Amino acid sequence: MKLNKRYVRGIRDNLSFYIAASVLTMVTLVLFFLFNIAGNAILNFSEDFFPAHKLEDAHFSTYMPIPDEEIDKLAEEYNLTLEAQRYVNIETDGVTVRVFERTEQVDLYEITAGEDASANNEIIISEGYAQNKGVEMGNSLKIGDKSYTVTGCFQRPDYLYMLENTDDSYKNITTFYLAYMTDEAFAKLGETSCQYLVIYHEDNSTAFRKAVHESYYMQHYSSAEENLRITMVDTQAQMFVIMAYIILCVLPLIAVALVCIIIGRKIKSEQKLIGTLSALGYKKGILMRHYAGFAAIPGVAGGILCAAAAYLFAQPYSELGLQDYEPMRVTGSLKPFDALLGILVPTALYVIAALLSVGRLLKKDTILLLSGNADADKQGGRRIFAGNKMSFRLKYAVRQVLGSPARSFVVILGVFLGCFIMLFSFGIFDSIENTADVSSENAGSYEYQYVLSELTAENPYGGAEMLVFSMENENGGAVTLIGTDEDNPYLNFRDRDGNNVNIQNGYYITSLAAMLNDWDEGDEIKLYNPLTLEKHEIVIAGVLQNDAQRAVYTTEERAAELSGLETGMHNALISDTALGISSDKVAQESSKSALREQVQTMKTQMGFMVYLLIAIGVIICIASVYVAVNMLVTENRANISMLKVLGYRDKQIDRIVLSVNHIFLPIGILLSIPAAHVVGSYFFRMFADYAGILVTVWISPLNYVLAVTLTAVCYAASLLLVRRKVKKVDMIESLKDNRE
Amino acid sequence: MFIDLKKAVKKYSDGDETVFALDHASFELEEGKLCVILGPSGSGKSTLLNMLGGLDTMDEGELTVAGRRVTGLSVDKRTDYRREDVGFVFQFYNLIPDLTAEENIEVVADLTKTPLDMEAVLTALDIAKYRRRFPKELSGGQQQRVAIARAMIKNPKLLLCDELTGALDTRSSRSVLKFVECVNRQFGTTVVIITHNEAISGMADCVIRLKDGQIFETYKNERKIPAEDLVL
Repeated sequence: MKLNKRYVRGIRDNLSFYIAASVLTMVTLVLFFLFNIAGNAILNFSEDFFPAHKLEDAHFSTYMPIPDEEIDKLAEEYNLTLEAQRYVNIETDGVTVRVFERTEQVDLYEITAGEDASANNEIIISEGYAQNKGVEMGNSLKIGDKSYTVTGCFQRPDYLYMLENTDDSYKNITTFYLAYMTDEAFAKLGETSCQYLVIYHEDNSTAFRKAVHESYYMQHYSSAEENLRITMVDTQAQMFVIMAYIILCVLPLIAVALVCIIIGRKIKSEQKLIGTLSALGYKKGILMRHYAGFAAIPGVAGGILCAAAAYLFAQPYSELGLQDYEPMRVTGSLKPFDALLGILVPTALYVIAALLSVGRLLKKDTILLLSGNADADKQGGRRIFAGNKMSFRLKYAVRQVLGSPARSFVVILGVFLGCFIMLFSFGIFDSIENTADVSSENAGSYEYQYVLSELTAENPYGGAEMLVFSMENENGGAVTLIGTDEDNPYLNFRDRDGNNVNIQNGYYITSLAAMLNDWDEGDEIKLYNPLTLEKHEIVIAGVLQNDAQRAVYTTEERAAELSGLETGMHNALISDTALGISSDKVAQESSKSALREQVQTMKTQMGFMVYLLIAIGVIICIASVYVAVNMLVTENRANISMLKVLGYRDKQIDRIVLSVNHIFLPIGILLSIPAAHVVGSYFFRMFADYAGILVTVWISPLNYVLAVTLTAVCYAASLLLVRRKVKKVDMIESLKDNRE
Repeated sequence: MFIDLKKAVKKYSDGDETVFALDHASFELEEGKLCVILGPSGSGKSTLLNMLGGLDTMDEGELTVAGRRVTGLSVDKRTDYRREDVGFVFQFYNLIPDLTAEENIEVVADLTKTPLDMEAVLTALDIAKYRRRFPKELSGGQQQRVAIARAMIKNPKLLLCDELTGALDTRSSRSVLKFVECVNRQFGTTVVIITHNEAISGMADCVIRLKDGQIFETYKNERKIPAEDLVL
């Protein structure tokens, strides 16, 4: 069909629109694809890796060792796999290595580089540490007073997220690593600790745990569901998939909506031609197909660009998303079907938008179409201020804005989205940092916290004593029980309104525990002792402002009663100075400065993703505003031409025509502020459960200024780009263009 | 002379061929006169109007209007020329659809240091009662009168009219021409009307005929007819 020759010419004449629409389609879709691919790549990896390497269902330790023959008996009686694993922590020059004895049935390691240790002076180490410290095969590592040659690197399924202690909130691959050596070399390391690894084949964990406790006294029990080293992998994957579907899915839809609006407007602007073709005898079907072809161009182009970008970046992006983990061998790839969908869905939506627009136009009288007045009945806001004495420039701007709501919507949406994404991205940084500070303050004035490796009544070290014990809620989720004196000088208990609270009055839950468990003041809740599985029912006396701990605070006596430990004993100390307790007496040591360092590391790690989001915000803002203002200029070519003829200079014309949308800049920005807070709040709530901390959305004044300035710069840049188009409008057009 | 055009050339290349839109065209016009330029389609009428109005530049030749040398003016200076000295009326009115009749006139008044009195112009062109109407709500004749008012509000030295009756019926055409005649007489404005309608030449002081880019006839109209009596 000869008519189709217009496609090439149409693209050439409206190249900027097609480029902007295609880029907008590509950018938003590719973001969705990359998150989705990364999420699924991790899920696929864990689905293969965990069962292949016999991931534990739980690990535990007991006060009395379980003899080897009893292990076999228990395994048989309860139909489970049970294996003892000995390990030892050795600190050398500020670096702690956890050397494991090899296991055969549970938590099997995989050599990922080099070879397994075969001589007594050889070791293999965790790969994350090796990469972080640049340790290569053949290098020597000092452990204690002996040197070992590194022959390989490994990963084990229960340590893909390298937490030194299960209670830590962030990985440590700088001063902590894992190692295996030969059985003979391991035996020479001296005194070792023992933990038991279990895989259940039936739903009988409660009976098993009771039996173990009765005979060997459970010291510690950690199920895989509560083990951050394990759960973080799937949570990370789910976070990517959720990000892709819940948050990012909105962006492609908005981009598609924007392009649909623009295509609809373009078709309307061609109503004279459509009328002419209709008058010449072109049937509705042919015209609809013809314009559907135009609409399909940005969909196909954007989809192909998206598929190409997703294909190229799928693997690096998936790996980049796993910076916090041991280097998992994930395979991120774009499935051909998904690539096809990425092309077909936006194309179909654009085509539908075109078909609806042409269909609506063709219902109008051909005469009206020929005169370009098919939408004359739609006056919109054109009549506003008709008798008012204000300047014609202002009236012109108001009527342009109200007379073209779809175009105005595109500008608002572009500014809104751009500023929203930037604020949201900056907010991630600020909120994490701010919450770390606020949580630190809420938690108390102490600087150091020590969890001792044994219960004791003596305190030769100083600091304030506490009894810390891990309980379980009805769903098996961990809740920390903390018993302390009401006059603990380092803790200040305040409720959510800031009022002082006396913990002598009962059990007080933290605000994070309240949110995650849906508990509130006055509720009667059930807590289980994870060692004895004994059930306790307590009434919540109040809620403490503390978004960093999933905890119940009470007196030491009540805590001792719930945990089944002796009254007057403690197992934790807090202090504002370092207490100098020997490392063999400490199970876990943490400090607020270490927490702050972790936050800084986390910010650095998240940097790439945040800056990528900001870049996308910039592109969306520029592309949307450019497309909308370009549309404004195209629709006002005759006016611009006439203004030139009448003696208006280009700058004056810019002020009249391009300033029309200025009002949407502050509107879009103002709308984006509450949106960034609401979405940010929702985002952080989603991750509070696994992160163990509820981050409160906070954006620093500096970043507000930065986001707003960046948005304004994007807006100005778009206008600058369109300015050239205004300059190019030919005055001669006034002489030939038919008007109303 | 108010308009002094000497050997104006405007050429375009069409493949290997050079097409002359204006081929060494020359003419002179006194101040306050009404001149009609006639010619068939493609004769170069619009090109000539573009030159006179400072919308386009010529490849060769000289143009002086009201003592201002238009040839060789920079883009900014040509804008000044259009802003200060020239008023335009087009076949298709070219009013800004989002502005009322009065606001369309304000667009030019706004640019002018000493515009004419708005009420006087609206009354002279008999459009005061339509002042708050939008172009779509006006007939073709009414729109063209608004366009004339827009051109006249700055009291230009030269009024250029391009096929100003081309889109109008006979009655409206006569009415519009009467207003142009009135403007020429009342304000002493020099008027150049470009048209292919021979009948309009009856109201002119002088007539120029164009063909293939060349002026082949220029004459003074000794028997000038009032616009009202033109047989259109």
